[in-house]
Amino acid sequence: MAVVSERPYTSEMSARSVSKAAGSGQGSAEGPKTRSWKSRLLAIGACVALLYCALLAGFDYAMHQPPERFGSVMMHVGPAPFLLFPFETMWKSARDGHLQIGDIAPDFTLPLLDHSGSATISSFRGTKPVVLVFGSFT
Amino acid sequence: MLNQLYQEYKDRVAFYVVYIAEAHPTDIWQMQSNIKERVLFRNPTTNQEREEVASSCVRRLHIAIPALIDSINNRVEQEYTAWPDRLYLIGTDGRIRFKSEPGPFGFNPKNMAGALHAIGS
Repeated sequence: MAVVSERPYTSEMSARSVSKAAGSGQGSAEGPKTRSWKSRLLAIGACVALLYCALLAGFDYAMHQPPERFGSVMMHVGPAPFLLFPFETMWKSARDGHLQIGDIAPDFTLPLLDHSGSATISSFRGTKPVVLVFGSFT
Repeated sequence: MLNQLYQEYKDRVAFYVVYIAEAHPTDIWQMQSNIKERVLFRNPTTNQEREEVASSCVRRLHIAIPALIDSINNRVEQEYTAWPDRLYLIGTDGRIRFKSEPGPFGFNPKNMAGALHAIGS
């Protein structure tokens, strides 16, 4: 008859089992208070992350709007976007535009400020390159 | 630097300032730097108003480059996604040879100088 040896059952083992069942923390990794604190922190973190993503998406949308509309947004939010978001990266993407190097430049005719006439961009084809400096005073 | 480029290349290259919608008018998105420098203008709502601000700009900044005025509907600015400022170089074939990144971060006349040099103007 084979004898199966097994560890003798001790009173220490019994005490450990009872404390585990009771959830007193003795001998376990974390108690209910720690788990609750961590869950709360995780939930808050998730909310903050979600809020940040929503604000980021909203601001990116604003950056794609016409200048006056974007300007109105910036008037109300102040310098916060510069601190919170990767402003320059977002700006360069939002304002990239559809024209690419190699595209035919859109033709236009505009009046000269000094009222001496007007200029048509396509009139320079075959003769001179054209530099356009877009900007304003403010 | 743009005035310098203009003086250097004006015999071989056509230069134009295209005056567009204000970047920081007082009634929309005013900047502290503009307040300090007394560059205070409301957002023009007519071609005439834009012309007046543009004239002030050319005068005070001593801009030598001939200036064109975009119409108040901002058609050309929209075509070129030029706001608030931007640089383009168009070759003799009518194709875009250089397009700066959008201003203010990408408005760099040195890059334009490099592009002018590269096309051998």
